[in-house]
Amino acid sequence: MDKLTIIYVDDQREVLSTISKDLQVFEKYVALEECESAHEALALLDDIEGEGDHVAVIISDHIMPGKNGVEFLAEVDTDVRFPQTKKMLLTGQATHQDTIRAINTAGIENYIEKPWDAENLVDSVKILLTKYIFSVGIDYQSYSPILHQPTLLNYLSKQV
Amino acid sequence: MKNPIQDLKSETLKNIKSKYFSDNEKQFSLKKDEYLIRQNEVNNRLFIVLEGAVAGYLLSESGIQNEVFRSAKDMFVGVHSFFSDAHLVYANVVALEDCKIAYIEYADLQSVPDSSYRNDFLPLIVNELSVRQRFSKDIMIEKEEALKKLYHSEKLSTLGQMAAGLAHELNNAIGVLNGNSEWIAREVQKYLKITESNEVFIDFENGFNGGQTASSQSIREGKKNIEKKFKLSGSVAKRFSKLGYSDDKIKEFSKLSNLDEISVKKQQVWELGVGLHDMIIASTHAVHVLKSIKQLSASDQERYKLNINNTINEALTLLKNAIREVKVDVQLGELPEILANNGELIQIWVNIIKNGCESMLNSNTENPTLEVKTKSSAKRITIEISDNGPGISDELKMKIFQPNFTTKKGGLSFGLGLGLSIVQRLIDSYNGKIKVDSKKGNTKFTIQIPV
Repeated sequence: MDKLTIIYVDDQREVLSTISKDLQVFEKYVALEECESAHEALALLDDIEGEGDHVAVIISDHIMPGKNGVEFLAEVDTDVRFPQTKKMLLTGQATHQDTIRAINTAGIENYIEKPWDAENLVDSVKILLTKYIFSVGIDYQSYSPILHQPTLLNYLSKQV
Repeated sequence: MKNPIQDLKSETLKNIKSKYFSDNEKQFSLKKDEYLIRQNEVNNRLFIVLEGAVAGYLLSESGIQNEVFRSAKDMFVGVHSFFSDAHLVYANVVALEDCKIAYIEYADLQSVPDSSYRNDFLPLIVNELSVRQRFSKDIMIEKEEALKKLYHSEKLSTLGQMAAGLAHELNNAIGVLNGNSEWIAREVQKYLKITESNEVFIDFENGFNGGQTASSQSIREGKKNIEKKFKLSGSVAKRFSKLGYSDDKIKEFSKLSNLDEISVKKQQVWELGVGLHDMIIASTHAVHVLKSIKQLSASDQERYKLNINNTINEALTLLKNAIREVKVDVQLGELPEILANNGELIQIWVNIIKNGCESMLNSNTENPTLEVKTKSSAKRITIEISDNGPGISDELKMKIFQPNFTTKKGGLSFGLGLGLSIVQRLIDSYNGKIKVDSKKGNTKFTIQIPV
């Protein structure tokens, strides 16, 4: 079974541990990694890639010391090692301009505003995970409890 | 309003005065507040003010007297009614101080030749018109400026009221959250103590008292070590790493067969503690922010004994978000208490700190750093706030304390960016001093407040 990772980045530890709790349903199937800065996340990306594992989804805050979320995601977006990685912005403070840049240059697939709703976050991650699995062509069956069923059906019907 | 000055050529004036206004019979004195002429009455006289000053008022529809012109020494009154066909007075003219007035009658003009009219009265009339026009223009500008100021302060006070209203509403909500999280924490504590083993209780206590102290990176490293050392699965190793267990403790556990289950349970209890810990921290922070907002918008200007260091900490709390990307170095010395208003001082620091941070961030300063220092001597307290931003040019240095000066293109940011003119005014009210030293890479505001 391929090893998938979901990474979330936020400079506030309390936020990270809240996200961890929200994403507990994924724990059995994929690795969950917390990072406190874009810098740390980039180093972790190198590690994961080095081990030959998949970075399926990255969730990032925007306003952080050092590199901000949009800059970080844009960097990942242009990195040839992670062409299929799905990116999500989870923030309460991005301006209109930031958002435009996020879509145009960072290729984000989803944007969730803080404060977020756990169910909504889980659903969005499920959708992105499903998209990732199908875009890289991993066998979806061992992951099916944590996949987004309508998205999954959509992919399957296209395959037929 | 300043009194206007007669700008007829002195020779012309002298000539007119001696020719037409030198008759002692046609001179009188007017006491302060007495009327010279009244609106809508017939006037056949042209007056000149020899001493003192008078003002013309128009009664508006709402019953307010509006000053429309003012005549001081050597200026004429009654020009309009005197020369017009109907001889009707359009404004009430009242003495602003004790005056000496001279006049001529309309009938006197009959004997004046046409050339005198052209040489003496025409310049007089034209001049009087232009002086009055200028006067009304000045009044208009003054009113426009007063309106602008009023509008500005109205906008600010509306923002203040909004902030206060918002703070009040949120306060109740957060008060409930704050109180209940503390209560739940105590209840869970009691419950665990009775129903669970001491070890479970300790896991909860660790989480609750400390929160999650380890960084995500150190947890990841710890997890790798534990994985290798004890040959445990990744998920179990991660749990132990998070819990911060010592090697001895992990060794003990690693012998157990149902390790996965046990580590999950341990982590859950610990996380319950961390969660409650975070809730209390978060709600305390929210309460603190709200308190600061309320103080900022509070209209009371009462001064009481306080420590300036506390107001600096409150300002930094209030700006927590705005300064997130900035390294803040705070060195607060021991200060004596002074009589001051909390809100006013916070406003001073917020303005200066926010300006500094914005200039650093807007110019993409590398390693943006803010330094705040306080110290005191026998006579005064000194506060220094410096940043390593691009600096303020000499040209701008002169202007930054002027009202309505800004380099920012955007609008007013939430009730706080009131500008350095307010800072200056507030510091003045404490008999304090503010100065700025700035060069590229170092801008320092020094504030001194007498003890």
